[in-house]
Amino acid sequence: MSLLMAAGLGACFKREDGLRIWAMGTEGEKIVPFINAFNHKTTGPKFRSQALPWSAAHEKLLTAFAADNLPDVIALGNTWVSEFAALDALEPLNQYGIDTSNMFEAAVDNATIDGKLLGLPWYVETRLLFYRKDNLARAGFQNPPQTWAEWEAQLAALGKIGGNHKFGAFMPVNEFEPLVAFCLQSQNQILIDNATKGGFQTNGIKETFAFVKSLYDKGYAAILSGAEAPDLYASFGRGEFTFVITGPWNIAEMRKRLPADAQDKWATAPLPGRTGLGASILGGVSLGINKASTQKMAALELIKELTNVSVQAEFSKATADLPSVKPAWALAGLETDAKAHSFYQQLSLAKAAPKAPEWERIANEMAIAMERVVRGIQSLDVALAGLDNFADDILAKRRYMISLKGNAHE
Amino acid sequence: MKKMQFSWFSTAILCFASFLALAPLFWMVSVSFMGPEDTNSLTPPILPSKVTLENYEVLFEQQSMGRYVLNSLIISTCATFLALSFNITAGYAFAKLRFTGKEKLFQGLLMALVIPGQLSMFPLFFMAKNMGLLNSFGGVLIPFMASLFGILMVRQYALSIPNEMLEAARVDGASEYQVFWHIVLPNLTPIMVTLAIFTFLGAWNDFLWPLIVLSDDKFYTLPLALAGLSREHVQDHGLIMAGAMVTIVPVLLIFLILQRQYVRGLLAGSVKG
Amino acid sequence: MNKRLKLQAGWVFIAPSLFVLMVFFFGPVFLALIMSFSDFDIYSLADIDNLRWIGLDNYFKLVQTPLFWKALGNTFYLAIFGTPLSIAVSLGLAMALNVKNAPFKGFFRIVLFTPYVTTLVAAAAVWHFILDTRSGLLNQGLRLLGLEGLDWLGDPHYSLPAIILFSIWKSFGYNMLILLAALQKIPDELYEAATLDGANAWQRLLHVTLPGIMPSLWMVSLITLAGYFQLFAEPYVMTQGGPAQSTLTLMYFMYNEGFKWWNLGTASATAFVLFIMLLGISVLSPKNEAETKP
Repeated sequence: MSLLMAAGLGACFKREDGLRIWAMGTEGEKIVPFINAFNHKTTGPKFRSQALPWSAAHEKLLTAFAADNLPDVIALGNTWVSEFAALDALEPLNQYGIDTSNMFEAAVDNATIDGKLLGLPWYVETRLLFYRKDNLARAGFQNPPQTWAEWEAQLAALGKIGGNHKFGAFMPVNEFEPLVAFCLQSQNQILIDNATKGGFQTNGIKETFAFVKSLYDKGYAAILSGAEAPDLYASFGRGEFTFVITGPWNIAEMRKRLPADAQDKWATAPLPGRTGLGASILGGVSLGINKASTQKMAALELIKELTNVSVQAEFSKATADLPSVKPAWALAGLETDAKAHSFYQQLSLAKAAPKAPEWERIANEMAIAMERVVRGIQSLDVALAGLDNFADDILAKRRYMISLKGNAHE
Repeated sequence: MKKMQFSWFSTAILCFASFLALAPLFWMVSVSFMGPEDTNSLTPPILPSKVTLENYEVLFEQQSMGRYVLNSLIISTCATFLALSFNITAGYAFAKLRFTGKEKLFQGLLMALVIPGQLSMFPLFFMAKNMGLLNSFGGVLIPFMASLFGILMVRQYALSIPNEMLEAARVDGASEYQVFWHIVLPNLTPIMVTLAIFTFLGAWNDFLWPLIVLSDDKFYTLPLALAGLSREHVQDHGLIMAGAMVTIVPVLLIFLILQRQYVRGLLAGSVKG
Repeated sequence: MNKRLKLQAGWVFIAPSLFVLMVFFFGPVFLALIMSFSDFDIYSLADIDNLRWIGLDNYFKLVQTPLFWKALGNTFYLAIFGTPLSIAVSLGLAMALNVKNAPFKGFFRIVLFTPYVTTLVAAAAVWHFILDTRSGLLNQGLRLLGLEGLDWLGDPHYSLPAIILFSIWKSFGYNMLILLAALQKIPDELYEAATLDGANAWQRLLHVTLPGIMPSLWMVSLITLAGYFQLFAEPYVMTQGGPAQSTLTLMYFMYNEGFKWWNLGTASATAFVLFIMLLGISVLSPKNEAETKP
């Protein structure tokens, strides 16, 4: 009897009917008015949105997949697209004749696996330098660095005035994006052989790791992990450090949280490379349709709505995210915004991360390895060899699947 | 003379320990009423400079805390009901009824106490999925239907029911079910209360299994919501402390009102020597 | 005739819970064992045909995984240092509560038990703030005493001690109550006799108190030990396993493998390793006791 009750109770509280879209971070909260507007317009079924915290989003998405409970429209971090492609969870969009010609090519390419378009780029991002102009000026520099060497020289000079980690770079060791960005600048690939093996001991990657490590060793960057770092905005606002490598959402955040007198003291610039401005990691989020959705046409309408030029511009204004649709930049006033302009520059230099489903794990491990090296727990060579072993090991199944199927999973 | 001094010493220790035990909770209450001027400063004060309810407002208006409270209440109540339904009869049976294989079965169950619950998590997840219970209260309630601990606790207590009472009823022609319903159950009321408290609190505090089962935040229980809050709004100390308050206060109230029964359950069968 | 009726009744009474236990507990445990012999991962999640049977390979790979040993090491650290400290605190306070004519015993008992009752996740969130390097209560207190604040949750050397500190605060109440009940069972005459024989306080402790409570003492030690082996929520809420995975416990490792990366083969293998260790601990327990653990 009680078993029946439990099952009955379970049925009572099952997932609702009604369409769902999940989105991460602040976008998950900011999307609500746009969903409401769409619901207002549409004659079809209505959508409900749920916001996922970034720190738990990936696992929640995978768990939802395992539970057959993915939402109808899924916002996917661009590095997750290949993973969900391997899971065969996404509906291919080629057949629906969507025009992607006005979007950033790199972003569309990122969402295309094995020739199938599996998501529409929703917003793009990349990582570059945010810096305090006044600190740099105090150290005698008028322009942001364009090469690694210039950057080191600037950091050294800043270190002399500030002393003890002051005025340097804010680079928490648990974030892999800056590290990966610098690695992408190298001639060597992070993952070689169609992303089935690690390339961590190649010269280019080794040099990149050594460069990043030297920033910590020389005291230009304090060894922190994000969770217990001091409040980024309060600190940057006080000019306690000069550089931070972060993404476009922080343009709005900085404008919101920094004190008024600090607003004209900061600027953005593309990442320095070895010999000139360098590549960065292409990030962002694409919108995919759940292959198991029973309302694919409604889902299609929603993602087309969210990628049309005017909605993109409005959304960009609300979130300070960069539109994936190029004409929306002008509409959102980003063409004239100097701080956003660096991103346009960087986006044309950006590169996608390796398209292997296991990439996220490897990227995480890169940060973990760097933290160990920087805290003196391991030497750089041992760490790089360890990363190669880790990657080779993790990618074993992928090598096996590729040899089975005979074609590339990309 | 010696005993008196010892008493002062031990009282001092108890006072100090009590201070340490309560200080974090007191801090939690205090910070939950603090505004950001206090919590973001380099050294937050012990007491708020200005008592404010804004953390609670944000909690209930923007973060849907009210729904999570309701979810926790529903789940805990249902779990209690389930546990009582399943475990009372089994506990009594192991204590007072004779049936084939009873001893062996009981020994087996005792040995099974060692098996950690986490071992069953992954297959149970897929089982729940196939039953359609994922992402629903039903899924969360599965582990509470029967517990070895509950059966043992009831059995331990049921052992104390005088056999003569039961025999007298049987001689009068009552069936086992009538004996159970009319004589045993009323006598088991104290342990039922204890089991109810334990199950309720256990369900209220449950974390790992609901974390796995529930993906829609509509269904979240308080611990889940608080964990999410704590990781996402890491800098917003006042908000998190307010969330902790909302989670802990019901638990503390139940404990304070029913502590005798709670402690009895704790000590049941645990004290030897 | 009567005997057969009783037989049936007994089975009827235990049938519901037995059924539930078989289906929802023992069944999955057995399945987990099976799973640990496969290479279930996200490719298998996509298509179960991608599953391969690999026998004991998961276990072999596990012992070759550095992170596994790191997690194991962390767990052992917690167990080895946390258990005696925890027991010492509980015993000390139980003895303080056991003193004759001590005032406000009831009050102290309740107050000292309060941390145990609180929801673990909530308490962890509170302590996360208390251990905050800059503005946390603990460091503020230390600075008042003229000491420097420590980077509790950011420095790999202090993160495990911080977890132990929190864990002791959270759970000492339970052991304290059990030990108190055990202490109260020791007859006064034994103490009087010892005093008459010339024993001082320390000797009374060694020769009367400890032997008197030995079974309970042993039991709470084992329960505490087993508890440390299963630690998960604390690092999940407070440190996410960091810094530099210094607070990654065996359970957290298993959770990551299972629900973050969906390597269920590896995760199940880890779960069984945990089980074997707990089995080992339980073997040390006194026989014939119905051990109860909440």
